[in-house]
Amino acid sequence: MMTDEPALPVSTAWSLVLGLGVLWVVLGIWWGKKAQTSEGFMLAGRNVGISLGSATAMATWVTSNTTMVAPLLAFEKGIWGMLAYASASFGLMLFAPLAYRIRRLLPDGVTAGDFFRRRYGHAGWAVFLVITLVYSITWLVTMAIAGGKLLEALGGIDYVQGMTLILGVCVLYTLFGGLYAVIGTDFIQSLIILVGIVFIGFEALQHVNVQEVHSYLVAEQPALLDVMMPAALLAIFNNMLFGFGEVMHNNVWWSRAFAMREKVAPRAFFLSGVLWFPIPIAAGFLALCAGPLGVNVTDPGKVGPQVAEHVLGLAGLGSMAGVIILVVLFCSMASSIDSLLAATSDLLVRDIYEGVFGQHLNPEKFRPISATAIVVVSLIAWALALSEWSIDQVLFSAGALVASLIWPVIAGLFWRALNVPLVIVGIIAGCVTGLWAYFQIQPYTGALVGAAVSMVFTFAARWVGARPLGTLTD
Amino acid sequence: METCVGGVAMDLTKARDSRVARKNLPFVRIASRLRASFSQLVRHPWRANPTQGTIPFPSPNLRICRSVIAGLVVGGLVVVSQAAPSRLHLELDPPSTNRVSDDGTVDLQWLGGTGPFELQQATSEDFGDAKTRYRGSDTETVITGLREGSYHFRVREITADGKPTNWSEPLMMEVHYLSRGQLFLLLGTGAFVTTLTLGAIVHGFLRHR
Repeated sequence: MMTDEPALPVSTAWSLVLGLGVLWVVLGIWWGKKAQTSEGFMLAGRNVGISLGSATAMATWVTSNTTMVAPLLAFEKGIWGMLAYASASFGLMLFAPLAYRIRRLLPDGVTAGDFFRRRYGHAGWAVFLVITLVYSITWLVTMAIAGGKLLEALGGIDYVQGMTLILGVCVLYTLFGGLYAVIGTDFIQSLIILVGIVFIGFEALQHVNVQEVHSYLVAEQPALLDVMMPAALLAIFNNMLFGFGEVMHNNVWWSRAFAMREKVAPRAFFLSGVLWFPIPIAAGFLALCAGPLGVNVTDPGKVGPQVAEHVLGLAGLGSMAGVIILVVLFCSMASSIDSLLAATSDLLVRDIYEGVFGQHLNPEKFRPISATAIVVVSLIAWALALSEWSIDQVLFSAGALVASLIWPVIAGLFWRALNVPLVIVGIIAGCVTGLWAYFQIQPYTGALVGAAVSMVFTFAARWVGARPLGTLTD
Repeated sequence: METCVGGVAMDLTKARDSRVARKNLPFVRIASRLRASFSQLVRHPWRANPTQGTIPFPSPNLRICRSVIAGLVVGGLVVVSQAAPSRLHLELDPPSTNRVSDDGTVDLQWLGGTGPFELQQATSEDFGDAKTRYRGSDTETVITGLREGSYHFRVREITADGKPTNWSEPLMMEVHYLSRGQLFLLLGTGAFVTTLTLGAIVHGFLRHR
């Protein structure tokens, strides 16, 4: 049982994290030799194949939320909660046809900001930048906080030191290698995550079978099996729309769409969604095994690692249990932190430095400018993570913001005529009403309401005062 | 004190039968005095009657006896009242006066003991259908998957010699889900938006392929 005592000696935890960190940095330096131009640094030469493309998309989508929030949802909301989290994979799958269209319309595109600037003008671009920067930095901060808490709980490493270490490692290899390093390390991290989750799930089934879990739930936690559990049902559509909005607007995914070869991008995104789908289900199943295994859950946010540690302990792995869990969770966080650092710094360079300040990124200046952007983003995240803010609420409430961008993206990519100002008003209205619903009705209604309101305005923009849309090339 | 109470409970019949043999026993002398005092209490009311020379107040022995009995009764009540409630305190984590859960999750913690502990859950106030939800040394637990209704919780400590202490004050929680009307409205909206979103993307992709 995961108690307040760390699962690993401090020296072991430090050795593990430093060893992994050195490995990623060395690989980052090695891959960074390919990044000789800004296009190479930001978009890996626009030549990523299907295996690396699928792996990087899947690994980036596996975050600490997948390994800790998915079990929490299953533990509190049952089967539907587990499926609700897994429904976020549909966002990746649905981005496949969008990636195809994006590459057709924006052959020279670099960031998602290029699309919003060219389609919705400076007003729409500004609204987009505010939403995406708030969301990306919030997401980055939650990863940093989760990393610090993980190292503290598992290895007894001081929170500030652990959080700084994880951020520092990711900053270093992203600095040296750009998107090449990010995608390359994501491939290795995705393999570790998949193997780790499968192994832990296999061990769990060795000690408790599905029938036992079902019998226990029927007797002690019957609502977890109910079809009509309201909170769980609401979580399905809300999480799905949250996932749609997150993938469809965020530069993390647009930069990968630009980085992959044109015909590879749709298949890679679809495959990554398929690969990602079972991971929250496996993690959620672990949480449902807590009762039958006799694990007393004191913090639902840690039920996944707690049960995993218990199961691996039953398998006779001893302290190796803590090693496996730490490695899998470290990889899941690093794979998301590096992507966020790279994508957010690209936005700062392309959209703020070049777009807002009118600077030109020449071949000699791109490395120091990009490096400065990466360091700035990481310092902001580090400073916010120092406070150990309960920033999860900020992240989950941001679902209303990102869901408001779903229909503007769809309309901008596929429709021929639009009333652009009305669409922008719809984005803002969706954000406001979505946040209102999140705080006043239920947390699992924010993204749903935001998407619905934005959709109504976007539909109206198709027929009320619509003007033909031009091409997206400058 | 002890003799006064013992005197009241004494079988005075036996004392009478062997009065000569026992009359010099201290216990017998005290019991006799006690009996005399109670007789006085019955025959002589509290109200003073100076014309008949009656004693207006109880005799010293009677005063002492009544004081002692009163003291014993009060002391006994104090001891009983201190023994009845457990030193354990059961509360929500974090502490809250909100006793309603909208998703069947209850986060409990208990303070004031060293463990191990036993936590019980029941649907009736008298714990007639109680079942044990947790046994162990932890001081908190999270219970999930509760259906709509009222639930009562209580906790006790199992001491080192295996004997359980008294139960804590019970804590009552109610589970109320979102209303069906509101739920179906939101679900309908979610299904509608999701279907249209999927349809728009698929239609757009097929049209522009």
